[in-house]
Amino acid sequence: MPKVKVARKSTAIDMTAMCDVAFLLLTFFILTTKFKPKDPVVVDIPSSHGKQIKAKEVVLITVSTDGKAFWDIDNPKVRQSTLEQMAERYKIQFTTEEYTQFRNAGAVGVPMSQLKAWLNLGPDKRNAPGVATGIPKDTVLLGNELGDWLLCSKIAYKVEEKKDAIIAIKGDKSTDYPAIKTVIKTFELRKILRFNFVTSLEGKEDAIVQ
Amino acid sequence: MAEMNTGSGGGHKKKGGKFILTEGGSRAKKVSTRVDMTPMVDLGFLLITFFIFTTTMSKPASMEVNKPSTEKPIEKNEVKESRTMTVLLGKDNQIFYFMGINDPDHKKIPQINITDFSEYGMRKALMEKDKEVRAASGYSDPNMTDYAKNGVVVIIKPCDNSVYKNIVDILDEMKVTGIKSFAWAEVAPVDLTLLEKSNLNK
Repeated sequence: MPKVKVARKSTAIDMTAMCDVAFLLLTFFILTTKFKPKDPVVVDIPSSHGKQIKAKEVVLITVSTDGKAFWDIDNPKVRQSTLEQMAERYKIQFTTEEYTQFRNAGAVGVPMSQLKAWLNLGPDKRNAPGVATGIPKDTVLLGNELGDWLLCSKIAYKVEEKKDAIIAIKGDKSTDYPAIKTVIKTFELRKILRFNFVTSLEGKEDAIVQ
Repeated sequence: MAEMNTGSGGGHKKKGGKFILTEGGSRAKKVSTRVDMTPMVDLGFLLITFFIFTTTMSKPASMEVNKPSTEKPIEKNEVKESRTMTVLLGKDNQIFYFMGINDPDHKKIPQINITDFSEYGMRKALMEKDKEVRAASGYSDPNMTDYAKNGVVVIIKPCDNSVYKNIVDILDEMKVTGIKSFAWAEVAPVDLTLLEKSNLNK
């Protein structure tokens, strides 16, 4: 019987290509990851069956447990434009350095009169507890800084991005209703009748209830 | 590893060998430039896996709210009293609801029901009332025209001692139950007196 010779092939595979892919993916993930900016307040949001929103064109109004209001926009260009208008409105001059600081400052929760000092605190101290006192809000337009922030943000989005801003409220589960009522009243005064509540997506919670 | 065919002039190939001696007698060792990439790939994927697992997936959702314009006079829709359901959001996640209108001049005091935000609380109540209202007005078949227009009309009134979660939850209930006609209103003094009289929401 003649022996059948089976050609011996190496079982080793060239890993170079796979290595390339692995590191390419790794680099991609590392570079695209954006760190979540530190929030000045911890907010435990309620859940709903709503749909997901893109966080790009959002003006986020955070309402903390004790009713303090915070303003936040992600887009640095729009942030700067908003501050320019606010500066004009409140007759406060900001330096180029302060504008640069503001672009990456995260959520703002101080009155306009203290904004300059707040910006000069530096990124570490800015979010320290007790620093943010909340943006003054009211049920009338006069002296309602939150209303001015909203108005300026709306204009800024229109000018910089040619888009309408989406106004969203992010409230804590246990925020008292009157605090939310005041914020919504401010919205109404600024003719914002369409807004969003930021909630977490409700999962199987319902199924668990028997 | 990979095989190499650099041997010349009858030089015999060593299987799996790292270098080949040529007949010419040159002693220079040809060291393979290839590196075993397997550990590096392992490391690469390990890091990817690590990064993926440690990244918290934040899934923010949103709920859109449309409020009626404050400037234009609100068109007064004449809604039958029997179709109206007033929902008062109270303290400690309690819900008080009653059918009909709470008119101070009315002799009839509406029957207040107390419930909560569980699936068998508010959701069941809303669905039952909706069904009852439809049955009473003769629109029980979903295929009928005007079926959608004849359901229950819910008026949501959050009291000052309710919390933000309550309003989100009740609006979510509206979405879940599919009740299209609802309004978000301010709580009226009449309603507060009614609750007080019934010794509720304290």
